Amino acid sequence: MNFIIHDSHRIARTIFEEDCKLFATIFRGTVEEKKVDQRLLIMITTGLLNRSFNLEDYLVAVLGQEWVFINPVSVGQTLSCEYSIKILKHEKNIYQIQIQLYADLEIVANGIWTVMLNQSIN
Amino acid sequence: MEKDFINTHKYEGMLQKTDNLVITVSHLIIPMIWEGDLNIHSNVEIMKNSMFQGIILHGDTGLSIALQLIEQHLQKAPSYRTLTCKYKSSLTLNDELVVNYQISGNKLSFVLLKQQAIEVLQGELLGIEVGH
Repeated sequence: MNFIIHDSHRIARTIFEEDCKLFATIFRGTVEEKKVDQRLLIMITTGLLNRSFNLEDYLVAVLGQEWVFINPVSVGQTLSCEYSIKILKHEKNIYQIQIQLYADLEIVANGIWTVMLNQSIN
Repeated sequence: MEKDFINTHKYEGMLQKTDNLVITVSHLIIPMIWEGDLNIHSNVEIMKNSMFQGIILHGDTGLSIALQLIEQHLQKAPSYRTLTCKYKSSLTLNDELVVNYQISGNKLSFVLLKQQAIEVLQGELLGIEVGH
C-alpha cells in the first residue's frame, strides 16, 4: 500500500464554465458566474491531490492550508500540480505537502497543505 | 477595471458578525465534483461508528462558506493575494454556521463557528481589496 498513487502532473482537470456557475449557485455571495473563484481553485486542487494520494487509507485530518495566488485562471484552462512532501512532526505523522498549481503551463498559485496521516509514509 | 471600493474605515478594527447559514446536503455533495469523495464524506454506515459519529464535509467547504458569509455581509467580494486557514473541528449536516471577522489594514481575519460557539476554522486573507 503506497501513499502516492500518481506522480506530479499525471492528474489534471480542465475548468468548465458550468463549474463556475455551479460554484456560484452553491456558494452564492457576490461571485461572478464566469469568474474562476480562488476557492474553486482550492477545491479542484484538493481533487487533484485526492486522486494523486491514497487518502482513503492514510488520512486522519487536514490541519490547515496556505495559498499565495499569483495569476488568475480562466475557463478552459487545465489545472495540474507539482508537489513535494516533507515531514513536519515525526511523532504525530504530520506532513506538509507543498504545491505548485499550474494552469496549462503557467504557475498560478503556490500552496501548502498540512495533513495528519495514520502512519509514516517514509 | 476600476474597482468600486467600499469605505473600509467603516469596518477597520471592529469585530463584525455575519448572518447564519445551515449546512445542507447540497453543501456536502456538490463539492465532491471538485474535491473527490472519501468514506468520511459519504459512507454513512462506516462513519456512524467513527470518532466523528457521522459523515463530515470537506474542510474547503467550510472555508468557502466562511468567505461567502463575509462577502454577503460586506455586500462586496474581497479580492486577496494570500489565504491561510487552520482547521479546528469538523462540519456535518444541519450545523449552523456564523463568522466573526475583522479587517485591519489589508488583512481580514476570520473565525467560522458552529452552533454559535465551537470553532470550526480560523483564517486570514492578506492583500485584500474590497471591490465588485
